[in-house]
Amino acid sequence: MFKKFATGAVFAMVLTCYSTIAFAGTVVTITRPEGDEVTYNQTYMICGNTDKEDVTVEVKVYDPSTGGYVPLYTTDKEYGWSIGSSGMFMKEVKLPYFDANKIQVVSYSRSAIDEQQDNRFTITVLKEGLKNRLVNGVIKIKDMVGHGIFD
Amino acid sequence: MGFSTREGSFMNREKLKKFLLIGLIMSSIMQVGILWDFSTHGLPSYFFRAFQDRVAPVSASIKKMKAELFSPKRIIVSTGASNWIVSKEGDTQDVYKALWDDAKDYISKIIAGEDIENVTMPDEKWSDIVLLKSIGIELDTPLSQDMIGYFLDSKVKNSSGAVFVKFVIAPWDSVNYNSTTVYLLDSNMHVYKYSLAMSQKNLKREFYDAELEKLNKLQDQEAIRNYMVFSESKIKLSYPIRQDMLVSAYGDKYDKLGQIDVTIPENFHIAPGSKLLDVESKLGGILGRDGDSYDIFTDAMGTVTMKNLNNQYRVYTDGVLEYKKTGNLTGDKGSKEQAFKNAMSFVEKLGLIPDNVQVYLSGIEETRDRFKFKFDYKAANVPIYFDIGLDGKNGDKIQNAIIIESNNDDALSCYWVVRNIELVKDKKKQYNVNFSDTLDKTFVEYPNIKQVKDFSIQDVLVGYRLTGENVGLKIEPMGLVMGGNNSIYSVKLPVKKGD
Repeated sequence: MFKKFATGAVFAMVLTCYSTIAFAGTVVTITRPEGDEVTYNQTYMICGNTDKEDVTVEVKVYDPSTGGYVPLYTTDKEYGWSIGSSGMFMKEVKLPYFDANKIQVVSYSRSAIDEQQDNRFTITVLKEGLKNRLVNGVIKIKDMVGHGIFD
Repeated sequence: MGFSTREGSFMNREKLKKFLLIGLIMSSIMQVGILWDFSTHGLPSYFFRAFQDRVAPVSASIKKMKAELFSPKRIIVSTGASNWIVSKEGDTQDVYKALWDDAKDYISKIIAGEDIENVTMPDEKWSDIVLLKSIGIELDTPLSQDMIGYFLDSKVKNSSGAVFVKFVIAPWDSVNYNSTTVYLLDSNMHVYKYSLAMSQKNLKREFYDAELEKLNKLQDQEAIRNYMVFSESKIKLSYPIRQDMLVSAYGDKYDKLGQIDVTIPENFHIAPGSKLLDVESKLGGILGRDGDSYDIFTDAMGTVTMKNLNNQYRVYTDGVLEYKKTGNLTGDKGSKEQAFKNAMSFVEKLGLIPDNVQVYLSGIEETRDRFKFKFDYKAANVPIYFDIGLDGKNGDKIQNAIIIESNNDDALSCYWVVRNIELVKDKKKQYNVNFSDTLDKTFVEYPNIKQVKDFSIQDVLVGYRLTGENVGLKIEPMGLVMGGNNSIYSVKLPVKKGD
């Protein structure tokens, strides 16, 4: 039992750290998100830039039913794309789940196969009701301040 | 009796002298008049009109032009998460008017120096300010407080010499429902913050909230595009790029846009060797009431020259009108506002603005003895950029529809690219207006762009580009990258497959 767990854990660690082990440099700087984020919208803009000329980026999302990462399409129905001459990309993706969306961004240099990078982050989508409750809550507090309740 | 007869004859002689004297005075005034305006015959009524004009009320068309010239490049409504451009036409025209009237009131109060609290903020704060829940107003050209005061008929207190390019009105920025915060950005990227009381006529926060809801619904119906402020992307590039730039990145890449049909007006088509009478009948209108005083001739290339003692007009075969005030140039440089009034009067006098466009002030420059004003057009809110080479201008290019130099007394020179501009009806296509796609294409088509001195990206937008070659053709909208130092790089926008 212990042996089985240990093997699985080590395998997962290898997967997660693959990019760090395989390629220590930076293929792409993912500028958005900067880390795990929370949003009310079901779409999210992923942004990044590179100074390399032949970079492809692919986005995947964790599928709990299969336990693996599956392609996540942009709103333009793209799964992978090449970064153009501007050296940047801005791609909007539709997040499939309320709550946590585990996102994987794989970027690699087409001319140097060993230059591959793997970024992972979680974007949590809050439901509209919760958003409204939060917004209304803020408004109510502001109203109280504005009408001198706290004076 | 004899005495009375002698007396009568004396009286008659005196009367005759009086008439002769009056006649002489009249003819001398006429002569002064003739010399005053060169060979225009008749009473020098224009001599008196010169005085009349100084007190005459500003004409209705000048007033209309003044209001049109001072309109924003864009009004941006921002929720902090979404950014919408409120159009002057269509579903948002009412809210556009309400927001612009409200903004003008706040701007008037600021330049009038009313008793309002203000602070200068660190420059780098601007990137945060444009992300606030707010109303953003962008101007087509930076304007000094004096010029804004002139446009708004508002007093100016302590004009600092700063020229403003953007305003952000943030009613939600204040805890107090009866006040609002206005941020100003000048052309040196300095930021000023003003706290103003809301007056009775100002829009209330409830109005703004209701409009935000409406715009949100329009976005859901895909009737209005949600834009991104570039700084939200946090992207860092090897070349400078304006962080407060609004970019088209969300949603559908395609926008439905029309084409324009651009032609040289019929009366500006002068064939080489045309008879002078024909030339006069076609172009005489631009000379106005002094038309008779002009000598008109054409050269072998077909260029028409019309000149009198003080003025010279030249019409080139490519439909460019050139004007120069000749003779002894008088007048001080004067104030920018007076020089601008003279430029506007000249524009109005010639009356060559196409019917279906909106004219806007696109630039102001100042030299030792004069001001230069540049005017351009928009068709259905899409800007039109000119890029026309002209032999008469030493090979330089004309990059504006109208360029006028003027001073305190008069318009001194002008280049006017005279065109008829019509929107092509029922010919709209879906064009890819995506920001990064346009930028990628620009770098491919202009591979050395990054090596250009002081290159930066100031804006990426959709516009029409008029060159000397595409006259008489239907012109499609282009992707335009404003590269700083007045450079514009244009690329074709891809059309959606099947469109």
